[in-house]
Amino acid sequence: MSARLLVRFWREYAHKHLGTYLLGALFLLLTNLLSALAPKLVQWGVEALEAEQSAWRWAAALLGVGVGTMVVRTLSRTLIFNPGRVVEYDLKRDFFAHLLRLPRRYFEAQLSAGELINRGTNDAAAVRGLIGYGSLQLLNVTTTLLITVWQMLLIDVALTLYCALPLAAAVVVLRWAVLQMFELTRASLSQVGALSDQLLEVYGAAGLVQSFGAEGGVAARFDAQNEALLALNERLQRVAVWGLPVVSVMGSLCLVALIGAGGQGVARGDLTLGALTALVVYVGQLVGCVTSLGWLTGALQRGYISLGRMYEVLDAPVDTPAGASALLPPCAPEGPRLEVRDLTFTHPTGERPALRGVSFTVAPGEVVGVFGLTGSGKSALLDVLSRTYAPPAGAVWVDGVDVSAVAPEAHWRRVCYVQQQAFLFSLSVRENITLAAHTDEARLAAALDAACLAGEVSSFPQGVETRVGERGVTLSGGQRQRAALARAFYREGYQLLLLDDVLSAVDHDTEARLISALYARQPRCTTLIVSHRMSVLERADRVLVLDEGALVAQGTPQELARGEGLYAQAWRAQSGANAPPSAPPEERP
Amino acid sequence: MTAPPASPSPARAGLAASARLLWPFLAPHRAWLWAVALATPLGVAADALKPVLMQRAIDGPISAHDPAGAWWYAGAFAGAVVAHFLLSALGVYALQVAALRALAALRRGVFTHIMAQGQRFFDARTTGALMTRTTTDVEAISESLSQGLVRLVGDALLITSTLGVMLWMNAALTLVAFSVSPLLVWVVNLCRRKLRELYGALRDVQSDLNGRFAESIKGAAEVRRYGAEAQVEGRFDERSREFMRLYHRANWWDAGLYAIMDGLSSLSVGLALAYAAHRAGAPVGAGGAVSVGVLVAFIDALGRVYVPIREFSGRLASLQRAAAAAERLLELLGTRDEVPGGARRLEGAGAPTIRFEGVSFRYAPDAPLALRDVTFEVRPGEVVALVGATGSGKSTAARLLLRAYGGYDGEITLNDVPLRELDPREARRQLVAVHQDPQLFKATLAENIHLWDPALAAAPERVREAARRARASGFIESLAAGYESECASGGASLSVGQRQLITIARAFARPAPVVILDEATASVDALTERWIDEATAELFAERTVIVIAHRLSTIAKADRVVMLERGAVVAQGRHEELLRESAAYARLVGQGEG
Repeated sequence: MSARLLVRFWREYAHKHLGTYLLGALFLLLTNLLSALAPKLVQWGVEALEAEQSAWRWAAALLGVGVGTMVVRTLSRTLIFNPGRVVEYDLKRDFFAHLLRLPRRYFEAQLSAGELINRGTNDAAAVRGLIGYGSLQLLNVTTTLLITVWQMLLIDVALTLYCALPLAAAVVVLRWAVLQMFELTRASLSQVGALSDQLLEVYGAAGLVQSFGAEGGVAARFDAQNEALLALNERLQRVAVWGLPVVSVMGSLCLVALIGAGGQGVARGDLTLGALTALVVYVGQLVGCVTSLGWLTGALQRGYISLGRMYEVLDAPVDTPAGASALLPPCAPEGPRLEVRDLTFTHPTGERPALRGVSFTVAPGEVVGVFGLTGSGKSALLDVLSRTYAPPAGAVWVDGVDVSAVAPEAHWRRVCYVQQQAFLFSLSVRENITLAAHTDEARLAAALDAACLAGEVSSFPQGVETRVGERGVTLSGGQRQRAALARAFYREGYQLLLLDDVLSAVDHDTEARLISALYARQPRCTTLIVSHRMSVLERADRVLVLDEGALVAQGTPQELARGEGLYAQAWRAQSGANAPPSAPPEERP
Repeated sequence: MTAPPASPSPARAGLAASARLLWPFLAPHRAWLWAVALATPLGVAADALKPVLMQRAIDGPISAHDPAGAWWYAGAFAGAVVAHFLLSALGVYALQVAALRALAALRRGVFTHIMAQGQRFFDARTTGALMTRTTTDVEAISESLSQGLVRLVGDALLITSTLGVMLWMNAALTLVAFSVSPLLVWVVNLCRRKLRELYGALRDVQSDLNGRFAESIKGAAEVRRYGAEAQVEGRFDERSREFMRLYHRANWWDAGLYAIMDGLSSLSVGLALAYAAHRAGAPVGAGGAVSVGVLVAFIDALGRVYVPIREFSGRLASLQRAAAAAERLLELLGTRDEVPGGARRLEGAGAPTIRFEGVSFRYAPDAPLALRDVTFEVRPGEVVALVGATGSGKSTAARLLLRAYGGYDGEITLNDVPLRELDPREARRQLVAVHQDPQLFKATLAENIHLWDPALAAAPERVREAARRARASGFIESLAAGYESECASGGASLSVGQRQLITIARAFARPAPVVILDEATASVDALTERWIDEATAELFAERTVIVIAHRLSTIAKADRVVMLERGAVVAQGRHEELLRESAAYARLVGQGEG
């Protein structure tokens, strides 16, 4: 273990609870003294009985110790455990806040969502092992252990060694078993996760599976996951059943040594019967201590590893460039001027650049369409312009200021980016659209209306208060896209609108109305709109054509349609497909 | 406030339900269960022997200063220790193995049962709920079996045998030592009840927190673009704080429970010692003075008997939890919503004639009619387009033909054989579907095309040929791993158009003479769209096709068009005829232009 991490943890999270801990430690000390006192009282009591004296006061003292233990132990446990929960909460809060500020790049290239959730919950809980249950219990156990062994040594050195050495060996085995169990439990949980993912997928596609008679193949895949889970659980049980009781078995065998060897001692008169009885009680305590020790060192080690895993995420840099400016130049009322200069960009997980040497300018208030085949770099372009990924220095300029030198928050305030696969939270429709605590009702109604969503939302069980997602209504692809558009219509104050194929899942009629709403939106802003549909692109001021990451053509839609490029081909294909019914019918092959 | 004792009846009912549910899966592991039944009581007996041996050793050879005798007892004691460990570990292990294997088999049974149900069953339940039945509920039952029931029996045996031995050694001393136990029962029940409530609440908060984590990771970019961090953090913080607060309360109850248990065992020892002091001087024997050996054996036994007493009510509670899960599973396994099939097969090769004869259907008894008296015919080799606005019933007709639902009025026939009398395998041999929503599995692309059909899986060249004809081979072969490329769940790594090409390849891979094609509405890029057009044109040319058409170009290519409106057939005939004759039809396809 490196001390640096622990020192940092102490400084940032644990030190606040020092007072509580000291008080808890005090009560813990009292608890330990009382539990060390109990066997002593028993010994004196038994010796008194042996000597045919009154044992009353020892009995009374024992009753007092019993009541005292109840009070003192309750206090020590709560005083020591509760701060652990506070630290867990603090860590979780910081972790969560940091997650929200990490760049997109991090989630794609570094850790999967499942792993991050795991760290934010399970690891945060395991860190408690270092503080609540860990350090102070370790202190507790160690002091009890020392006191107990000291008392035993005072009674009989040889007998103490007979007991202590086998128990020390047992701890090593126990520690191994405990760590194995942590490991296997983790593996078993993630296997349950994999099984659950598969079940969701298959149950969701049950109709498909049945119509293709694929039940057999799907069941075989299920069996593989199910059996892997069974194998892990059986291994877990083998370790738990045969490995964990090692200390208590060893403790019982120590009792044998005591009775055998101690019996001889009593026979020789080296040892009183009372002393032997006390030794029996001490061995019981020793077994308890040693068992905790095995668990604790395991928990400590696990807590330390978890702490490292949490700090790894907490230390991941958020994407605010050094010296970034939050001040932006004033912008023209119709929107900013956008300039892209020789932009080359590679996705964090990609091998080839998604954009190569793209340069273009968009005048204030201009509406520019972006056209290209799948994989041509359209979405990548919008990802960079929206600063979902940081653009390279000097490549993207808004009103003459390099975006890479601007604080991301400032850039996001002036940009509204609507993606093809909109993300909705499992919250009400209202909260999903406003994304704020307070709602301007008139604006919300207007936004729903403009996004052609008002009718459907009013048919939901609780209108705009209906929850969407897992615990509420499931929205269709088209409804999700329109909800995302409503978000953009609701929002105010942005000057640059980026739309990534946001109409792909709506029918033609709705599409026509949405396009009109988009083009009629006031105040106007500089707009980039990605689409496959000619009906959308036709109304743009200008269209950029991308092919394999390069800008291959740009011009007004009319100019491009007259040419011979990709755009013209698509234009002819789609207008042919949508030829008015009065046109001569096509020949069928 | 008096706490009522934990009621045993729900636990017993749950036990009965769990047993009824689990026995068929447990039965194959009977040998392990015998091991449990034999090893557990023997282990308990070996454990109960220990205090007896200790008492005998102290009062006998040790007091009599007889070292040889002492060693004999020591040997016997060691034997008892080892026997106890081996037997009780064997009992627990055998039980776990039987329970885990039964659990895996039960899970398989639940899965198979669910997958056999018709679409109506899935309409009424979320996939999330079905997943919970298959994983969490099954888990809860196994837990009740292994953690609850058998440990409960083991603990009960341990408590009664220890008590029996104590009563036999000195009844009066036992009663005195346990005089605090009513208090103990009351305290333990109170604490347990509080803790159960708190842990239940904690589980809910925890799963809510996990959900929020997942969402904010997926939606992080969106949250920041809209500057909504404070909102999202606030919502998370509220629940996270609740989680901490609940745990603080749980800590108090938990600490109280352990401290009181601890203190009570000291009290019992004190009481035993007080009784011995009180009786000191009287002659040794029943009702008289307590021998030192008996006292030591008592102190040892008291130390061990308190732990199972403390755990007792907790184990009862886990049985109650399992009861709820078992009832849910029994309800699920008792629900049969399969679409019934017959055993008839079609005679002769080639495409059958498909007929809908006066078919009416509703999705639920209280739902409106989705199809009203629908009659139409599809002859071999024909391409028939079903058209109509959203909700007109065209997809419903296709679903009935694919046997997703039963329970319709009228008749659907293939070569005059009613669909409901047809062997489901025969129906699959005749019909293949291209679904509108391309559903892809987390598996290789080849698997996504052959969908584990044994004949296809064994013939990779047929899969490649199908992909080629579906125009999917181009992009598949450009991938590094080709047909063996892993596809993410739902096909997230592919574009919408590529996913559609894969689903078309599924139809090409199967020789079924009839294809039911649900045309996709989502727009794709021009090149992919051309590929899809070419591939469907090829299907049209060589198979009988029922196409749920959205695009005018597709409708125009059909031999015949059946137009539906609110579940009823309102017009059918050739596209050009309908255009001339039906104003409603012209309006409907006119919409297709955008």
